[in-house]
Amino acid sequence: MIQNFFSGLYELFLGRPLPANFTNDYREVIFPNTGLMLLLITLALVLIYYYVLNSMMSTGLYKTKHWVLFLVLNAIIAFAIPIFQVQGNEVEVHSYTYTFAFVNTLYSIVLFFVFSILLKRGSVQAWTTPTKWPTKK
Amino acid sequence: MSLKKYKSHTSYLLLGMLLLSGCFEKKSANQETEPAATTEQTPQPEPIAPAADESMETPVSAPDKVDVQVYLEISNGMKGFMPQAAADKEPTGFQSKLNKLISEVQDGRYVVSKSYYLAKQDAKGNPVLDSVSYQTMKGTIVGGIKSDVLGTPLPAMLEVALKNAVSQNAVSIIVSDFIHGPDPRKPEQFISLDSDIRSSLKLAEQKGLAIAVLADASEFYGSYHPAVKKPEIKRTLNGELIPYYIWVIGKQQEVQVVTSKVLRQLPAQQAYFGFSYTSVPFSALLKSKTFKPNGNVYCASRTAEVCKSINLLPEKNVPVEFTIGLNLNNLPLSMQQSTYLKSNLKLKNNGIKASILSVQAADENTKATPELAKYSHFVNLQVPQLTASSGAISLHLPQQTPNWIAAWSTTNDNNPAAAPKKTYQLTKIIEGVYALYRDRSEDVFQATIQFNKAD
Repeated sequence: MIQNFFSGLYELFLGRPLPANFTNDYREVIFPNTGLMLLLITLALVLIYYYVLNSMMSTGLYKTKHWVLFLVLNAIIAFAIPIFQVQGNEVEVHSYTYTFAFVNTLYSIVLFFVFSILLKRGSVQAWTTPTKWPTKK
Repeated sequence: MSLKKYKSHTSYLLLGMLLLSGCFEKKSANQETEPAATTEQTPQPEPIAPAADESMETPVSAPDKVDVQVYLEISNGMKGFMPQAAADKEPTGFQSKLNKLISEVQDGRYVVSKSYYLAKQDAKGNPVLDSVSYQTMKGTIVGGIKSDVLGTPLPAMLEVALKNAVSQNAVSIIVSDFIHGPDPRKPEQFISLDSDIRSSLKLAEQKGLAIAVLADASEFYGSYHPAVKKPEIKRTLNGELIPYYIWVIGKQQEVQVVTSKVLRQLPAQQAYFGFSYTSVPFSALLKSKTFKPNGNVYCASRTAEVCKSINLLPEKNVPVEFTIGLNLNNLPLSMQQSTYLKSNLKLKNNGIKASILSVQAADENTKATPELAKYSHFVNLQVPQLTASSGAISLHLPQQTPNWIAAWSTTNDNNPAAAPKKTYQLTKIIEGVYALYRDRSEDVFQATIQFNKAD
């Protein structure tokens, strides 16, 4: 299930894994691993930003530029994960690997934004970061 | 929501993350045999049990030692192969070969019990086997045949020798010129040579024995007695090459021991009958760096060390190409030659269009690569098209009478000087043997790979 979900998600933009003889490694290991890590790391960073740095601690990092910093940090991690996954699973590195890393980076940006919108309301100092929308006050 | 709650949530998430990150680990092929790892595999259309397959495939270890009986045909026609030895005379090819053979039988480490027989004919025309000592056998080979002995009809000699060997559970090595010398009172035996040979060797087939026929030619000095008596009843030869044959009859593995460890240097002319292998080790090699596949093809199982089920999808202009590794080390020697395999390996395709691009024997490079070291041959296949969404590609080696048989056969052996290395009606003799095994198994071996259309 999870494997099919993540394979579908990545192959939507990437097409079949290349080189084709490593199709199974991508579908059964690399895609689900990368997808799950993307999900969890993004969520963790969003939680840290809104609830640790801007609720529990008052670090003053509530401005949009700080939020962007975290988004970029998350994007860098998201680019690195696929490459480490491919190498760690003894799969031949191919230009596909880098396209995959790029797609994962795009997903990380979207996901970081979505999580931010969903979770920012509970933050004490950063509930309007990066935007006031959709909360009306 | 309170801060505390968030704090605990965060730690749960971090904990969960740690746990999950280890979820889809790459399992190495070695770990696969562990039952825990198998639960992770995606469901496959053809459930394969690599462990069970593997054990079935381990080649039945060939017996180390065999019992051997050597039969040497003694007749006036054989005398020319064994001229009297002299210091200034080179031994004939026959003499040196046979000497080596019986020496290996007598003193080699691969033969347990051995016996030697001179096959001749008694006064009534019946074949007799004269059990002799090693010394007598050796003396006959180097010193020649002294007495006057008539040739034995070929089928009768084979039958009697085979019966004797089977009763003692030994491998028989029969050495003869295989020139058919039927009883002059029964000339019809010329016509029924193939069926007579078949009848005489029936016991071998019934007992599940295999036959190896090895042909060589040797210098011949003296009276040559052709099967065809016109224009000459006999000729005197002085070193012309006359064929002689070594037939090895016994259980498949035991024949292999004799051919590879007792005879050792086999002539190029070899023919094998009744050899078949229920399984040879093979695998589609899809992750090898040496044999990189082309196009869209991958093993159905990610972790299988031996891949017998593949997914593939050839596209227009991008045919799928991949290599199958086979271990054919147990096959008879001549069948292991790449040239033989190239011309004789065939494909049976079901739901797929495929062809063999090349056959390559293992080289230094593949022998040094751990995952390839266990294969002796590599067959490269091309698949331009699928005709069904699933099916099988089956690589098989049909039973075949080798080409040299026809070249070594003649309908008139009267003048060996003009047409050397020919035996009268050899094709017919071999046809008889071939007919014996024709219906037992069509293939020497078969290697089948299941496929599914890749999604």
